[in-house]
Amino acid sequence: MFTRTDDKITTTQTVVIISCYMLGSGVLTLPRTLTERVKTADGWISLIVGGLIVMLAGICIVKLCQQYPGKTIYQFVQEIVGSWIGSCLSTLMILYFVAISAFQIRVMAEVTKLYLLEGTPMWVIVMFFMWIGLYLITSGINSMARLFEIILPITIVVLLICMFLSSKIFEIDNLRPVLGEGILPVLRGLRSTVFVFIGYEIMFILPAFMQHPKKGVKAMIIGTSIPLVMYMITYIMVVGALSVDGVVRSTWPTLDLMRSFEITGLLFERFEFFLLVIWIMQIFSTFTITFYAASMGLAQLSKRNIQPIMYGLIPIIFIVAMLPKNMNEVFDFGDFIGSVSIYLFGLLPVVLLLITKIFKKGALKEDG
Amino acid sequence: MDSMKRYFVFALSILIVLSLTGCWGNKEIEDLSVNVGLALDVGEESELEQELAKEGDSYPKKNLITATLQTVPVLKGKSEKQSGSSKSSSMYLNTEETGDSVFQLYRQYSLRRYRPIIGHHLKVIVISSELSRKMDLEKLLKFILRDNDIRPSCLVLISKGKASEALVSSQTGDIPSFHLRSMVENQFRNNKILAPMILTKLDGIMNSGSSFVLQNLVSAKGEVEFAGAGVIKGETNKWIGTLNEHEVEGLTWIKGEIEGGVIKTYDKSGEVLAYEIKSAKTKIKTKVHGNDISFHVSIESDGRLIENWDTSQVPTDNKFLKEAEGYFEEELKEMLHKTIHKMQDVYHVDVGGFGNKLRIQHPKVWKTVKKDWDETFSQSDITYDVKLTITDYGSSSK
Repeated sequence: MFTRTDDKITTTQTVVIISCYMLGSGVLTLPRTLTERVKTADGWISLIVGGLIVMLAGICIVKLCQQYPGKTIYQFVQEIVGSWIGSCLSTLMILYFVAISAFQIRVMAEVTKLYLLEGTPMWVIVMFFMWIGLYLITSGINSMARLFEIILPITIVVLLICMFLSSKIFEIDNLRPVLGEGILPVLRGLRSTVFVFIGYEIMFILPAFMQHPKKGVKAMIIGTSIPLVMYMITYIMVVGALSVDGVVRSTWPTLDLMRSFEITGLLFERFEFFLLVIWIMQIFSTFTITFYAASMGLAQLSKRNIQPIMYGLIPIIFIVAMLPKNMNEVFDFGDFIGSVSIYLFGLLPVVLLLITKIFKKGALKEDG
Repeated sequence: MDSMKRYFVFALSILIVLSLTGCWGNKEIEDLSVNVGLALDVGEESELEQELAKEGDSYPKKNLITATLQTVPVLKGKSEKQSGSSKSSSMYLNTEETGDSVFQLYRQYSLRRYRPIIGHHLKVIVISSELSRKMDLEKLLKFILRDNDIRPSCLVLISKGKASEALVSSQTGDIPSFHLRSMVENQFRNNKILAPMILTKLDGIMNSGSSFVLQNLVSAKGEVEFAGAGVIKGETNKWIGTLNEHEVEGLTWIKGEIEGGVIKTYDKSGEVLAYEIKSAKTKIKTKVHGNDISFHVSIESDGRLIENWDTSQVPTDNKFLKEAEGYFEEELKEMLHKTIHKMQDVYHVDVGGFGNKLRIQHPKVWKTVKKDWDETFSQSDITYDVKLTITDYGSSSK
């Protein structure tokens, strides 16, 4: 069975993993997907509300995991709902993680092909990405956490610099009026905000690796706040520059914002490549963490060694990533994952938590 | 086993050598045609094109658009360099192509010039008013907006005459596209220059369906000048007329886009008086009473008395300053009046951002009038008050 007692992570590392997971391809399309639903410039309020909801769901998950210290969802779900339903849920979750990692890779490849490496075949981009990811995850969650600790500060700094530089074309009028059409548009936007906050479900797994699982809630809250702030800044700057009507027309609005200005005399004139390169690192982190979560699920479900499973998943993720035939299908795929996430991880933790609270099954076992 | 390992290492190092070649798909920048400017005119084949067509250059197309692609750098012959006769050597190359699809015109370029064209550095697009009167701007710019190389930071301008003439320069060493691009930055010197309309902003405005203005160009004898603005009607995205320089000045006051500039007027004895704008602030208040929508524009500005020809008057005298302020205010009001008259009564469009103010201040009302805003705007009342303050008179007190 798969247990590695040496592979523990600190609370800070947990925060970093959650943030890195959330910050994925979503930020490239967020201003558009959100504005398409909200139809006014109030998306940033939706982001706050969405972030809070996600925090609540995350806290439910952490509370649930704290009832089963040292165990991941794959191990304790069977104790709660029985082995049959438990295995089914685990399988669903594994499929979900595979789908996300495939989606992230695909979006990364699409953007890279469009703006960076026009002549490079997609499979080459995807392959290298996957191999390096594989190399990372074979050495366990600790190595991943350490890498993410390096990536996250760089991401934050670069994103802030890029957004700050774009202030030249920022117009506050594009963000006004606030709540001009009431609260309804904000609620409409909630659904698309959930997609960018995908990542809280990793807390089903992480507490098992934490040195201090008691601090799970704190880690969850801070881990969600970092992406929340970054998303808000991005949304405000993009909509402020492109306006509501412009943002809905742009396929990759965040990149279009970067492409809309040049800074002369600052070493670099164009910043979209900067942002894109950093963002590829973020997508990489999302990819590896889901890849890892999926392979761990399979390992724990089948009670086998995790290494061969990681290798085995590579072709599967590759095929799933290549399934969408055009951009529309890629975006539909993303929407689909978003809806699955809401049902799977929005409702599930609450239901599971209720079951454990009522029957006290797991908790009793652990205490006794 | 050991030899196996050695073979493996050997094979691996050969693989690494492969990755050391660097970029084998590279293209030297000197061997590319960097597209820096694009002019769109009504389709009319140039003499050269007609001759080429006679020789057999033809493909199925409608001659709707003539695109002039400005590229740099230009191949320089050795003899030219040595003799140093920079007289006729221009720094840019204009290539005219006639057809319909803008993208196809770009690709046709490769049939005439051996250096492949790249769009990363496209700085300006000039569209002739004649073409934009006939064709929807969106159709013209669709390719530009979609292309992954061309940056949406590209500037869009309107030309009263032929757009291709705006991309010509008589000054040696001057690249017209760069010239135009940099001239927009002069906003802080002259308020007859509108805030730059880049593709990003244009895309949003076209989608919102509101009317807008683009900086207008006039050209003569290889010189290009910013002169007024072209008015584009939002419903059709077509050109409907121009605002002259004076009206554009008024418009920048209304829009509050002033970064610097001048108000010139004459005093009662006909002598020149000039005011240098140091700061300007515009506030537009919307009032809604039932179906009546009205606006109140209030403008406040600080500035300097920079020129007065009547030497008998001294600016150290407060009375004279008050009097001068009155003249300038009068002039500004006149300017505003003309601009608003042109918008409301001549073109029936709102290009002053009044709709935007209504959207922000009364979002519910805006929703109901949005569809037919230009007409509603033309019927609405606009009042204004201006307050100019002369704070100083520079380094000369007499």
